[in-house]
Amino acid sequence: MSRLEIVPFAEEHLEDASRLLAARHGRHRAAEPLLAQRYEAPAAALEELRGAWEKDAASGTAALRDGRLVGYLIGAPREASWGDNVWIEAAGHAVARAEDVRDLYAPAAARWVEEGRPRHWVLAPAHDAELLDAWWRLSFGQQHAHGIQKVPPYAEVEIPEGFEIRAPREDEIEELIDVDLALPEHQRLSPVFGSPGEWTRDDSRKEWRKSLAESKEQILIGARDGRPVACWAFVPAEMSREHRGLLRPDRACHLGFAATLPESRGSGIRVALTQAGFAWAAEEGYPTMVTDWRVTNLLSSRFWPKRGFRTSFLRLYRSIP
Amino acid sequence: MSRLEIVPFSDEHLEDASRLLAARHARHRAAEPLLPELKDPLAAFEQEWRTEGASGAFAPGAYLVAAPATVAGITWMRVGIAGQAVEGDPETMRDLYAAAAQRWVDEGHSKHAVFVPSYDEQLVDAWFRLSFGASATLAMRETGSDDQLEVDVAIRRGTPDDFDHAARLELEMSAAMRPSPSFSDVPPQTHEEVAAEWHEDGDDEKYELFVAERDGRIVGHFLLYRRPPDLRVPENSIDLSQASTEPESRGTGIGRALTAHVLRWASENGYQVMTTDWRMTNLWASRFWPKRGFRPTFLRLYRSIP
Repeated sequence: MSRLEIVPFAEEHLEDASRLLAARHGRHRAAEPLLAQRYEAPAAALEELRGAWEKDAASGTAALRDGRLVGYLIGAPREASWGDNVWIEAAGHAVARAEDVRDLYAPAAARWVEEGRPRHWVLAPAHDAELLDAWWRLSFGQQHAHGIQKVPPYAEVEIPEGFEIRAPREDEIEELIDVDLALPEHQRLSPVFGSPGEWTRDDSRKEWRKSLAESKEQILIGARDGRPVACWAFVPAEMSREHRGLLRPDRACHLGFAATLPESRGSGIRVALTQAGFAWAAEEGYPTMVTDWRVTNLLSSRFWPKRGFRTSFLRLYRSIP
Repeated sequence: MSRLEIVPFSDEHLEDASRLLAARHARHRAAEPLLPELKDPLAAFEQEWRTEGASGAFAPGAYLVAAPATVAGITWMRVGIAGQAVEGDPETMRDLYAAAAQRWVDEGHSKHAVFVPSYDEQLVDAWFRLSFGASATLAMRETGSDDQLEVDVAIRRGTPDDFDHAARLELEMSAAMRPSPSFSDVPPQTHEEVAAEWHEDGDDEKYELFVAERDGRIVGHFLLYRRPPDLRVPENSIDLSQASTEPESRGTGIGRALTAHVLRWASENGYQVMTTDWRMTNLWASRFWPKRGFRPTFLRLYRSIP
């Protein structure tokens, strides 16, 4: 095999890179047909790629064999709440040969660390075991999963005894806050060790008031003996900050929030709320539902695949040191 | 399915842990027959458990124990080679880590490392899904080599006269681990410090130094070490503990020639197995050693929180 040459990524590589990205997405769609078809066209892939490349402080590398582009990697920082970070977004890398991503990462990461950005995230297509393995051998671990599934045409909702599923009410905001805070509380614990931003009861109260006034979301409450103990919220995928570009299927809804009080976990209400969500999505004419979860959250990472969600993208993470 | 009951690891679990370790090692040996027989699983496990600061978790059919390990001033909470075993579904290990790691983090340990037997792909995957990435490989192979390489390099045994060059090459090896994507944070030593170590015990009988010369200059060296046996190091083995080629001579066949030479030397001198290790994030090393026939036995995985 001829020698691999790694050079800094530049504007001149965009077009060839878009062909690599479109090809990657084509392979991804062969494994996960619910993903949007349009990115199989290099022109649409190019738009995504430009988005990644034109971000503030973006930089990256290109891999050439015999002068031909065979891989690229682009990273850029997200907001400061992620710490001293660089993100390789979903359109941020594509390679003809998985192992080459390690050669692309080496000089790119040297620059990022030199710039004071030692926390690295990458969104990788989950179907590509060889690519995931290459990232893993760069010391990246799994952190977050993006899930996708077809909305079943009919979903039977089996509500466990003593529970009901209904809309939230203005007069129970304090109980709704308890449910809202249950998720960040759980994510702070082992083995997630997440560091969600400070989210107080006041913040939650304001958010609930806004949500109830705006009615932009479909919110389903699981209540036990009348008291809210779980909450599932759905929005059009267009409203999701994370399910965008290559991650966003056509005409999808996004299950953007799901939390249950600890004492009601395992009661069956979570399954019932998911079924009720499918029933709502089917009625609204959404063919596809997406969601996402922390892979290190033992409850979520076991629950959602059992509900039929297949992982489309994995968010991998490495902190140096 | 019945509920998994997880409790903090304590002395009352020693017998179960040693039985689980023995069973794990038997499966490991079925996949890698060069691994030694584990004669005393309790002693192997106690080496982990009796380390100061050790703690862990136990469930029927599984255990996980780690202890603080400090290298060059950096402390990791480390699950050693005997520090975990699971019977049945490897997913249980994620529950054990969840139970054990809260204490480790509460005690201020945010860097976690774990040695995982590499034959168990499902267990390795369970750790990947706990946000651990690969950082190093322990490996082994049979000695002896039929490689007839035509490399213009002369290989001979090292002598104390070579120790200053050995120090130079050792520093080159350490330097190769600092750049991206390895980012080793081990503080660099000076030439004087490393040379002093070589002159102090370089001619100890536990070591065998081999040097490669080209045009009268030492351009590379390999150091073999009679590593004390444990559950991954057989009694009849020798460890390839240092391999270094000066940067300007890399890619010219010196490493391959030295490898073939020491494999033959080891075989001729009664060592049937050679062990070694490398950084997974060192692109050169992680590609070179598997091509030389070394097979992983344990993977060292790493997670930093956050």
